[in-house]
Amino acid sequence: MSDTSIALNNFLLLGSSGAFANFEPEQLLSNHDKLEQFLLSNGDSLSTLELYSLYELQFYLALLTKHDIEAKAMLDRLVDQFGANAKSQRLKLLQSIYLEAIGKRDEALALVNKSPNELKLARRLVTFGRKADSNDNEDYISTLTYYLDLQPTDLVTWSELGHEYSKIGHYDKAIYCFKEILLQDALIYPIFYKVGLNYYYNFLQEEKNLKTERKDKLLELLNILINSRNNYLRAVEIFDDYTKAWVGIYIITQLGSFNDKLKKLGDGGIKEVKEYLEYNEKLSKLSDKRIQELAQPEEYAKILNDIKK
Amino acid sequence: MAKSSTLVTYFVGLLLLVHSGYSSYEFHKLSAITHQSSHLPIDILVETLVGIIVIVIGGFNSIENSSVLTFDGREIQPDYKYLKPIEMKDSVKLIERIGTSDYEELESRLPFIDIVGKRKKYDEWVKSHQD
Repeated sequence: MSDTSIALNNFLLLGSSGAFANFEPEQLLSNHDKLEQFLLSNGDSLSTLELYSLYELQFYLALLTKHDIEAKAMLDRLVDQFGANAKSQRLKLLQSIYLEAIGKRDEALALVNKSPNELKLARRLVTFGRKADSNDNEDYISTLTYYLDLQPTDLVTWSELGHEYSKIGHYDKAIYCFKEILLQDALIYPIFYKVGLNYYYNFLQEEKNLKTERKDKLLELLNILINSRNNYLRAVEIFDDYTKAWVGIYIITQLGSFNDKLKKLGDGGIKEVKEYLEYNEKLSKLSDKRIQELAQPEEYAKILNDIKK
Repeated sequence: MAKSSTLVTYFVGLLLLVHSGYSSYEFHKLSAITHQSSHLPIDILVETLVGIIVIVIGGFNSIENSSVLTFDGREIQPDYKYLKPIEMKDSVKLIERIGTSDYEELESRLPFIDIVGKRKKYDEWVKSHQD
């Protein structure tokens, strides 16, 4: 396959996955420049579907990198092709995002508010509950939950709500949201990882607030850790090269001070704790080995950094 | 996009098949005129077989897995030259190596993108690089 086809497939995958939404500014700029060059050199040889998919991607990349004139040009091409008056939710969504980006929030809101029964636009409408320049996401969470009452099978919205709860430290609620996704599709290993991660954060939160070393409290914490470990293990059971989940398992096995407390309990004859510690040792070696096999040092550092965020 | 070598293979194979078909037609016409009944000449049979084999080779060539680019520009060769494994743990490997997954939609949550916040972050990045 030629270099052009490889680059084309790469851009189409980037556009269809929406992965650029989580890109760092440097990656956004680099991809914007590459796509701009690609469209100039190969635009004429692409099929209509490929060309307009790339125009849509370039619209987002241009908007995110503040090339507003270019973003408008891409939007106009899409509107020219598919009709300004057509009842296309996708076009209206793009127009609304553009208006919001250039500061015309009221116009953007009016555009999506016209058709509250259309799923994509209704989802976008929900985002207007978000407060700019503020970490307070209470209103946004309320609108998300209201929307989910109407559309309980919308997995992307459950994921968004889970992330919002996680941001403000409501890990138990975040876990509930991610589990709702797993109820609908039990093979989504990245979500098992998210559940495991939120249990781990929940453990750290509870451990920080721990004032006594009472047996029942420690066992409660142990149960949270076991839940976290089991969800990570389910992720690697589905996809055994999933580095993030192996790193998650490794971190759990290296909780020195908490494990010392557990050892004392284990020496006191609690079978559940003994079993956990034995299993922990095996997992520590295994996860360390798998990380060495799978991850480059910089990738490992990036995953650790993401978990600490 | 089909590879040019695949297109050439298909073209050559089809050409051989069409040629052998036309030769066979001419041979039968000639046989009818001369009222001589005989078997199809071996060279026409061989040409037909070669044409079919060339097309089959083209077919195999067209399903060869291509290399892919990561989002940061590195080229990755697929694990298998032909066809993908059907086990999930194997089939998701390549897309994970690219830096995404089949469930990226749940991670990227594009419909909920905070476009104003992202643009602000981009602005800050540009300013920090100008300083």
